[in-house]
This record gives sequence, structure tokens and C-alpha cells, in this order.
Amino acid sequence: MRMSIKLLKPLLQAVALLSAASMSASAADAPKGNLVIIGGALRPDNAEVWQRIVQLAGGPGARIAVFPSAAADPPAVGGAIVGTLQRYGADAFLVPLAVTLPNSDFRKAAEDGQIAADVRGAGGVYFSGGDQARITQALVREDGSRSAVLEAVWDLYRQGGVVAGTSAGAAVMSRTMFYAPPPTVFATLRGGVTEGREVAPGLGFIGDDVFVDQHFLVRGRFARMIPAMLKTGFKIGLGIDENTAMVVDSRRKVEIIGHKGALLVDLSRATTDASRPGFNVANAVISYLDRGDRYDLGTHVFTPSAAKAGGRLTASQALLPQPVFSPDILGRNAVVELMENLIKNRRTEAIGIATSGPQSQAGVPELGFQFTLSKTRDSVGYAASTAPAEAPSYSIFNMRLDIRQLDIGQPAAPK
Amino acid sequence: MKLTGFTLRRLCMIGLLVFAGAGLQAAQAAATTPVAKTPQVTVKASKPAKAVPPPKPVLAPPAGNLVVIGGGLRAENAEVWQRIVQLAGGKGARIGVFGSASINPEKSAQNTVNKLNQYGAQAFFIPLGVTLPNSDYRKAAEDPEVVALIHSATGIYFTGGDQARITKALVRPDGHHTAALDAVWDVYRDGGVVAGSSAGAAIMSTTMFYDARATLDMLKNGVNDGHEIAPGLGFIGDDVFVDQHLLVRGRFARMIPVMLKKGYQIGLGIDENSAMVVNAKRDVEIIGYSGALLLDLSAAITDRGIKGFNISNATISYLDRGDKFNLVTREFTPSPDKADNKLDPNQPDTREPVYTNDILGNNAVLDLMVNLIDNAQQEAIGIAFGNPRDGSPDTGYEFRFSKTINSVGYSSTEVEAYSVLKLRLDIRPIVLQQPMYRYR
Repeated sequence: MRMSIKLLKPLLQAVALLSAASMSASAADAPKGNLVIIGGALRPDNAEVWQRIVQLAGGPGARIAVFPSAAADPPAVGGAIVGTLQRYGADAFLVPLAVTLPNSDFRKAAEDGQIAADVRGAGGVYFSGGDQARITQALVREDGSRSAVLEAVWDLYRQGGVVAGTSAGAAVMSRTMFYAPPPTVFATLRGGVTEGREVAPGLGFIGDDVFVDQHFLVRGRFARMIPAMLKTGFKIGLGIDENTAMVVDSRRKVEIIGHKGALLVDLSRATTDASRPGFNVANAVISYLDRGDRYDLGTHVFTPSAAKAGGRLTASQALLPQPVFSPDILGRNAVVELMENLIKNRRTEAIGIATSGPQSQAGVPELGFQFTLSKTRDSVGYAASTAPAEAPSYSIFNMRLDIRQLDIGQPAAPK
Repeated sequence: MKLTGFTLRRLCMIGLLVFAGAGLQAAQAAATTPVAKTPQVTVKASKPAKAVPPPKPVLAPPAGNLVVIGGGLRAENAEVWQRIVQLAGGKGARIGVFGSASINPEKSAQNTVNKLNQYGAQAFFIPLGVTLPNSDYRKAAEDPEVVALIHSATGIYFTGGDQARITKALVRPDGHHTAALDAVWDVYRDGGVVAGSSAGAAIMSTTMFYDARATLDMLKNGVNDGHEIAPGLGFIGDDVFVDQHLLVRGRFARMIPVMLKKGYQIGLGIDENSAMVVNAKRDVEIIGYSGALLLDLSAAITDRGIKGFNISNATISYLDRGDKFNLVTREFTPSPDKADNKLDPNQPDTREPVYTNDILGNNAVLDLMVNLIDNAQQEAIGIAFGNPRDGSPDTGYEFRFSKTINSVGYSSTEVEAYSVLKLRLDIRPIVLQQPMYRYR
């Protein structure tokens, strides 16, 4: 259902310009509302996240407008979300606006006065998952300006309402987003990103300085976020894991709630070496924010959760002697596990590698990447006092990350 | 900027020289060894407790239930906590908590007592543990007062820690049950619930990991009684091997050498924050956050002609939360949200080859199984190898998963969740080219 790239490109550039302009204009009157950015696969029984959305929308009886615009089957997907929000006490309703909605003209719906009024009058909106390109297609005019309904969403956010979104609905939170269906993480490392192809403008609720990605830890996506951030000039990137949410308040404080955590990538001191072949970066900084942790986007200060506040890991606890290595740094949660193993280790450096897969033909070098994590004087870890001993939970802030290209699979000889 | 500040060690690549392309033919041609149930080897070392057979005169199977938890059970996992309380008799049920596995039994048990009480139980600490200060655990294990305390309960809970401490506290040096262990069996036989998390789950089978090493090490070097493995308490019966922390730590692979060594055909590995409920009819129900892996080695063979650990024709299934499996009939029942949503092999979701460099990674085996079952591809490959700086970095293993006529997948209509049944699994050693990679 997506428009061809050629048609879309000028339009996308226009949106980018416009949203950048409107952002600086409105900097003085920052939105009073909150964002709830969910990493996808939010379970109906994740009470903490659902309750928070309802609470931020005004509590029991709060009106919440559900946008199923990203979905292939909007009535079914939207209906399920409405049902779950009702169970948690909201007065949720479906917004009939989606490019995939049968017997409906989405352009008309996006300018419909009644729909815009209903959205503006709500305490919150919720964007479902699916394909994020469908959200921007439905809500942004062809000339790149905001439709009446999108303006209503902004009004709601500016006046103190909550804007929530999961998966595709989380991707639209930043001014640049990955397109769906996404390229593989490895393909992004190998081929880089091109605006209008792998990435395109989002709706930008979080502001123009933070890149947002989702389904983060389960799919090793930190590695695709870095080339995208470098390409599009972001210094700060936040990737949220599945069944977990980031709540961003009007003072731009981020709180992690739900099942797992988020990864923060800081490229403010990162460099790339153009003389080297292929993608590389040095001196990137990554942090794992576990559930309950907070981060201030304004001051860049981390605050561990109450359960971890007294659990700062000291050098004397870094006792593991084994070298730290991951054969597949893009595997599920692999980067966080490598960070955990390194912070507890006597060594200062850990290595993970990524390869393209099994297609290597004998004698043909294959492309790979090495990820080197290292501890610096700023690196710090916290352990939760409440977690069972056999399944500890950590927060780890400020580890250095360097990525460089490798040749893998040199001609192999039998042993 | 140059990366000159880095110690550029000569690291490695993956020239996966598959150990003898002829390996498969060899596997078929060479004399094959059926996996037979081997008699239990008597332990010669005196360190671990001796074999603990389930009590001899088994008149009837225990009337009670087991709740086998994979560790990392969160306080808010209401489904699992509520089920334990319910199976112990519901509100006000008396549940005795053993902290014996812990370095600090009383604190560990009290933590669990508080959670059980939050969910309506009247739980209490059972003062028995080798690490309990000012206490002679051998006396405590035979103490009529402790026995009476256990008998007063309709539920028992073993917390996590080191499983060897549980068997040391509850089994006499000659291998017989202590009075306290007999009392636990009485609770179970009379219809109570025996629950255990992590180490408390490990003791559920007749064999448990004891002084376990890393999974890859155990594939390379094998497992031995009294070292890597030792007798457990065996509540689940002598035909099922149990392991825990399963998907999070890629442990499915370490179950196989143990099952082969000790003659188990069925192995169940439960993931963290999830539980298997086993009732008197031996129905297994998966509850909680994630699921369990089921290994069936009844048709598996190993080829002694291949140097190193290998197996072919093992069967692996993933039981998701809500699914049921009967240990007697081996019949599977999908959860209600999956029952009407069997995957159609003629309409695969994708055709992409499925491969992973790290089949022992967090959840990697499940991700691979899910990717394969809804795929036009008929097989998927996962590799396991170690740190290039470790010993024998050139030895690795290939895990080949393939679909058979019996392979089935289900997907949930409500959440992103799958059940994957009966994939064939073959494992064989491979040689990794050194160095594994070089800088470009």
C-alpha cells in the first residue's frame, strides 16, 4: 500500500523542512503533555504500562482516541486496543482514519472536522503497530503540511494530553523513522541508510534531537540505529524493547516502565574514519536503562530505580576473569548481556561480532563487523537489590562502543 | 580518527569448515547406536548425595501437583503465584518454604513467604539448610518438630540458589530419604503441591546439574556423575529430565548430553518467569511469561564413528504459555488463543534462509524455530562456538533443525506468540578456521 519512493521523496523532504521549522517556532511553548513510547508486543496483562497511559490521559473515564492507521486490518487491531484500554478504565474510541480502511477516503477523513474535534477533546491518543509509513501517509498532507486531524493530535499533546504509540506507533515519535518493512540490521550496517529509502520523516513528537527505535533488544536494532543517526545528524537515540515503554514528560524526563528496558546511544563525541572501508564508528557511548530507571534528556543525567539506588557496582565486585565475547552481537539481548558481563569483569574490553550469515562460498571473504565495548571512567553499573539471586537485573551507563569492519571466512583449510 | 588506541588482537573469522562434508553420509553409513535407557551408575565419590529413587512401594502415583519454575519469578507474575496458592488449597493455604539452596536460607525463604502471603497463602519458613547459622542440618532433617511442620503444610516451595545444598540437606549420606524429605513426599502424595524455582526446579528430576560448566564446555567434554550431574529428588518421576533458566541461557543444548548419558527420552526445560504445572494425570501445563522446550530422544541416535558429541534425529518442540502436553500419551494441546490458528505450510510467511551464529544465545533456539516453522525453507542452521581467546577455539557445533511430516506450528490470534512442535534436530562437531576473522 505504500507510495512509490520516487513520488514520495520530494514530499518527504518537504515534511522534514516543515517539521523542523515548526519545532523551533514552538520551542518556547513546549508541549505540556506526555509521551508513552512502547517497543511493540505490548501484552494485554502489562498493567503498569496500560494503567500509566490511562492515568496520564486523565484517569478513569479518560477519553483516548485510538489510531489503527498503521494496521493492515484497522478495525480488528484498533478494536482490540480499545477493548484493552476500556478494561483499564478508559473511555477509548476508534478513529476511522487509515489508508487501509475499506470504503473510506483517508484524505477526507484526515480533514474531517468532527474527527478532529473528537481527537482534540480527548485526553490521549494511541497509535497502533503495523507499518509506520501508513501513519504518516494518513496524517500528513501531500504537500507535507499537517492534516486537520494531525493538528488536533498536536493540540492535545501541547495542552497536556498523552500521546502513546507502540511499534510503528513508536517509530513515528521521532522526526526521522525507519520504514517498514525494515531492512535487516546487518544490511543497514553493510549498505548504510538513505533518506527516503530506509529512513523517512516521522511525526516528531519527541522533538528534533532524539531518534527513536523500537522492538529494540529482541532484534539487535541498536546496530541499525547508529548508521541512521550518523546519517541524519542525531546525537541521542533511544531504543525501547518489546513489552516495555518510555514515558517522556513535559520536562523531557524519560522513565522506563514495563517488562524490560531501553538502550540509549549517545554520539555526541563519536567519530567515523572515512579513510577506512565501510561503516565504522569510534567513541560512541551506550547505556542500558532498566525498568524503573530515569534519564533526563535536558541534563543527560541518569537516575537508577529505587531498587538499584544502593546497588552501585564497585571495582571490587568486578571479579569475573573470563574474556567477554559474543559470537552474535545482533542476537536477542546480546549487547545488554555483553555489557553486563563486562561491567562485572576484571577486563576493560569486550568483543562481539556480527556476520551476514552462512552464504559464504569457500575462498570468498565475507563481510563482518566487530563491536568493541570498553569501560571508561564514566562507566557505572547498578544491581537491583530486589531481583532473585539467580536472575539479577542491572542498569549499565556510559560504556564506550567502537564498530569496525572485518573480513570473515578467509579460505579455510582442513585441520 | 584512527582506532590506534586499541589493542588490536589477532582475532578471528568464521571459516566454517564443516567437519567432513561427508559427515552426514558417514552418520548414516556408520554403525549407529540406539539410545537405550542405561542403568543408573553408582556414584563412587562421596561428595554428592547418592541416588535417590522415588520411594519403593509406589502404590499409586502422587495425587499432588508440581509447579516447576524456571527461575527469575517476578513478584507481579500473578498467574504463577496464584496457581501455587490455589493448588495448595486456596486462600489461607499453609505453604512451607525451604530456603535450603540459598547462602542465606532464612532471608531467601522469607522473601518467598512474603510473596506467597501477598497472594493469600499462610506461608512459613522451614528451618533446614546446610548454610543455616547455628543449626545442625542433619539433626534438623530428622527432627520430629520439623517433620510435623512439613506435615502441617499442603504446599512446599523450594527457593533458588545451589541445588546441591538442597539434596545435601534432605538426603542422608547413605542416599536414603531423611525424615524431612519423606514428609515432603507425603505432602505431595496426599495431594499437596510441590513448587520450586531455579535450583528448586532442578531437583524435580532424578538427575540434576550439580557442578555444571558452561554449555559449550559440556558439549566438548561431556558430563559425569558426581561432577557435572548428580541425583536430584525426582518428584516428576524417573522418565523426565528437568532443566531451568532455559531460553534465556540457551541451555537446551546441555540437556542432551545428560539425557543420553542417563537414558532419559523426555526432557523439559522451563524458561525464566514461567512455570510447568504437572498434575496427577501427568498433564503438563505451561503458565507465566514465556514457555518450555521439550526434547524427545526416543528416536535419536548417536554415531560413535564421529569424534566428539553428536546426535541425529532428536525431536524438539516449544510449548508456549497456555499450552498443554501429557507425559504419558505425549499428546499436545495448544492454548485456546492458538487452537484455531494452525500455520499452513503451503502459505509460509517468508522464504528467507534461517541461520544464527549463536544458537546458544538468549532465546536464539526459539527465534530460529519460529522463523523456520512459518518459512518455505525446510531446514535452518545454528552454530555454536566459543570465545576465540578460550581453549580449543577451533571446535564448534552445527545444529541443524529440519521439518518433518510431523512438524506443526500454531500462532496466537491475540499476541505475538507461537507454539512449534516436532522439529528434527541434528547436532555434529565442526572445525572453525583460525584466525576467525581479520580487520579489513
